[in-house]
Amino acid sequence: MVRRRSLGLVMAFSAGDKRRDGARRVVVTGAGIISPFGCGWGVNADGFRSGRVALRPVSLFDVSAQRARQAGELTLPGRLPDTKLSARQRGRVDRATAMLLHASAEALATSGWEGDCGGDDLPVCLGTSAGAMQLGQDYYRAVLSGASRLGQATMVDGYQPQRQAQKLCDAFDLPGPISIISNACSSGANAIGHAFDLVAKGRAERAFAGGYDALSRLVFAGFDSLQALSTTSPRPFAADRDGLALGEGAAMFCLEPLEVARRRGATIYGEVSGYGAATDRHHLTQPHPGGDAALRSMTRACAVARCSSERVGYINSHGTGTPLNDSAEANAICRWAGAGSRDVRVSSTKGGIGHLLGGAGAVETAVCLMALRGGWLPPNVSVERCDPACDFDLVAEPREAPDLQVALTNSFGFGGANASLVLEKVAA
Amino acid sequence: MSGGREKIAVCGAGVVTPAGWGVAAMRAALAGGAPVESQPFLGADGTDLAFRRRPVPKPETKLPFLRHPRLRRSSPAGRFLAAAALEAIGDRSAELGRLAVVVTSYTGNVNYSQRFYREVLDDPATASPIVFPETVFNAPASHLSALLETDEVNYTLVGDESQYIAGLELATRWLLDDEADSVLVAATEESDWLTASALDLFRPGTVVGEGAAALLLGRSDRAEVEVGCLTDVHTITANRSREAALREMRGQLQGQAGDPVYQSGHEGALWGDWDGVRHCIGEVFGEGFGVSVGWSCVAAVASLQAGEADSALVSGAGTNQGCAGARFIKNT
Repeated sequence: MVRRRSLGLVMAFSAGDKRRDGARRVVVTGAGIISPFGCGWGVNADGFRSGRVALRPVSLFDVSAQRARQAGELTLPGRLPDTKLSARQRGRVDRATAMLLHASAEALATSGWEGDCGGDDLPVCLGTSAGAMQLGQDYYRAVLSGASRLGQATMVDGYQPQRQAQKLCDAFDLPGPISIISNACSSGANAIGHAFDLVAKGRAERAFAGGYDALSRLVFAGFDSLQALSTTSPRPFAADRDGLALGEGAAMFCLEPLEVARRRGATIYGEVSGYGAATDRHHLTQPHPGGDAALRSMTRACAVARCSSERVGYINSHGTGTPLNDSAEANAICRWAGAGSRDVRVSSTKGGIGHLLGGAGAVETAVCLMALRGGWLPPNVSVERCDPACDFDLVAEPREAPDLQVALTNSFGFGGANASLVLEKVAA
Repeated sequence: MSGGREKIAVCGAGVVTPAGWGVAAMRAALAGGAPVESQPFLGADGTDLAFRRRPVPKPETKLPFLRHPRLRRSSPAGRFLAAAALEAIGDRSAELGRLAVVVTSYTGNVNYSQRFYREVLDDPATASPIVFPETVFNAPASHLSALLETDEVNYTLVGDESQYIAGLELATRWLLDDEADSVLVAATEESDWLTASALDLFRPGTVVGEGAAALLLGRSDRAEVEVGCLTDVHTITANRSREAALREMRGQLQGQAGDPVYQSGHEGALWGDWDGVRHCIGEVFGEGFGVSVGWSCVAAVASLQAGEADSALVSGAGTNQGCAGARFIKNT
């Protein structure tokens, strides 16, 4: 069987740079983020650490007939980052792609990969749930109104997720291949997990991965129709929670073997040491009440990381704020941790920025890396009375955690797509 | 393991095409070579929308899997997917072990998406909570896992035609890494006036097709057909034209003289000098978007099972993401 070219690139590794299963240790050497807190690592770290809430009334589209009216709507920087896109291409960048470009520019700049992304093979692994839905909506209305065919063609072209990914590749001279995983709200975590697999198993020398999604009227109305949106304020794991808020944003990461990163003196944000995925077939939009698939994805991720639950010092939960998700996830966490569940520190950051859907897993990976680097835990905002199912240490206020060595992030999506990532601090 | 390498076996194949439900109907249509009859898209008031399509015909008997609670309201793409998958699995359900799923799609659940958005434009307060979840890209894949009662990993890859080969590559990796005992790799697409109108902007007059294709992969030395070669996905970028990606794909495919080639339909003159038989799937079934490469793979496998050749090539010319191909060989 013919395998990928990259399989032929076998490098020599010292013992500490290989895992016990023979796979390579994979580290993050570049990271970029844009969220309702703002654009860039620093402003986001400040926001997550302090427990700021960045939800506000939706201004992008009309929500006057909806039950819910707020979201984590971000303010895009006034201009796109400097890239290789032509003026024409820049003029056709949609909102979601703009987020992707901002996060990518920061990730590549911090990695030291800039100007060195060419060559034959640099997998670009993206997770998105809605892609450029805004352009799809625009196209639908344009067809019905008989707008110009040229304008329609531009919308159709930009709507396709692979065209967003291609703009990313063109902007930074990334050769691909491009993989777009659309597993609803776990897409971002799946994309990072997929990239981790590629690098750990020697199928790629490095990979560029993350997730993104922008707010759109169709998706907002969809969650509202399900009565999944909070009409007050989202408060994950609160006993009186009444739903989620949607948000938007992107996070991107440069992944490469630890050995390579050390050799070139790269900044190491942390190690991706485990990835697990499982499918919950209970219902299209509702999790199994016991959190069976969530338990499987967490267990698998920890098995890959060769990490016991006792070693995990923090869980960034999926924690949407819907009654069904949070109780199922709480059950899964307690089952996973067993007798030690009360020592497990858990929070959801969705109360501050909303649920970023395909971008959630990526942004929450960034939160875990920030926490590991800074030695703090992001608070789960707005909880006065905790759901009794939360038999763990819910981090309700900003907290220092200089001992934090290992974090786990959960992402669970429609269709029962469950994914977990284990992230670790790397000793200097 | 065999001869120092592990074989990836094609354990089953299934399709839904505009020619009907199943591999036999597909092969009959390909043998005839004539395009399946097309129909006009009609608007809600019966007016001809000036786009044509080759729809999947209604099944001759009621599909038993539609009784499954997850399939009752599923999109056409979801139903096509389920039918192709069940045909690929056949009577092997007891042998599947840990069954993973990869589904690829280009256009997604566009019927329900445009319907739900229309409801939102009419009155968002009354838009259907039943329709919305079916608009999500991975809804068909999720229903399939529920139908097959598998809890293993399930990916939906979104992109152009090349992604079916990417899906086969991913499945191969999972099998080689012992992350699954078998993997169902499927593509599904449904036709819709909105998609047809979009296609008409770029390729006026193109007839839209629809359907699904599925291959069941496993590790076995006993299977009749094995995956001989999967090329890289040669990405189309500003620095690599589609033509260059096509040439790279053909160069990597390791075709042998006389191999039949199953083309997805956008290869242009790429195989003009090839001395084997060439089949253009798109000419018979219409523009199938992502499923056209899936159809090609199933057709190639079926031809080997029928003893028509010892190996066969699939040329996956993507529209705007990449080009990738596969070679299937008869296990002698």
